[in-house]
Amino acid sequence: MGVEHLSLAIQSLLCLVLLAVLFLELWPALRLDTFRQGMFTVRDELFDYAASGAIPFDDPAYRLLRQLMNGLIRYGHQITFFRLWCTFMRLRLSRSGLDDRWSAKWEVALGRIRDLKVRDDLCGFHSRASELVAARIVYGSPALLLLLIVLFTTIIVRRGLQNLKHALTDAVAAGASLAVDQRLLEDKAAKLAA
Amino acid sequence: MASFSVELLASVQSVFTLSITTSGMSVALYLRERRNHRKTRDRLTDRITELEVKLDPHRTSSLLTPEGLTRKEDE
Repeated sequence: MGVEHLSLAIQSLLCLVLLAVLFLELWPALRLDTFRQGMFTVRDELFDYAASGAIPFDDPAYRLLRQLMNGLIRYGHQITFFRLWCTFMRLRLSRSGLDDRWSAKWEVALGRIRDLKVRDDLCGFHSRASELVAARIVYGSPALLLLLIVLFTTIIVRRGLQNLKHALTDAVAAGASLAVDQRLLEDKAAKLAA
Repeated sequence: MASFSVELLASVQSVFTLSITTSGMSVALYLRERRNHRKTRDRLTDRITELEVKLDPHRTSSLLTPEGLTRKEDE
């Protein structure tokens, strides 16, 4: 092996090491920070919403939503398709059934709110949190990314090129719901944050 | 032919050096910016918590570290 070949081999090895650091360390850390940053933004807006007097801070719906967001922020590093899929399979194999206590409590708490606008607003905060989770799951898995491309293309073909952003959001939500049951994730996050 | 090979190698070397330098600088800048973000979070967390607790005495927390990182026991 000549000096040139050795030099090229070292260069290639160095590039591979740098790529490994980039894809295995820096990129996941950035994704996690971005997810948490987005969730903090929604949580802060929810706080400001309650501070404006629209809903009391001790309202069960507010507390449940905040509890959910706290859990998602705290355990954001564990929200991956692989982990969720393993949990889902474990539940199926043990036949213990889906634990959706948080979802049930959330429905009851929402039902107690008489003002329809406040109810819609809270559902909006919940949807935004769910979208962030869906994006984290889908963009973190190559298999789901592929599915996302297929879904996105299908939605675009069906609706035409009217609103690309909505089509992408819908595709992410559809991809995540195909992969995992949202109630499972919400209950786990709320339970861990309690 | 030998001259051509040397020129080609020199060209590859310079492109490689340029790429590595650019990538290295980008990563270094990213890491520095990330450290600055963490410092800012650390500086502001207590103040935000203090102000929010005045409005909501039962305020709950995500229990991240003041820098916004995962706690050791949660890893």
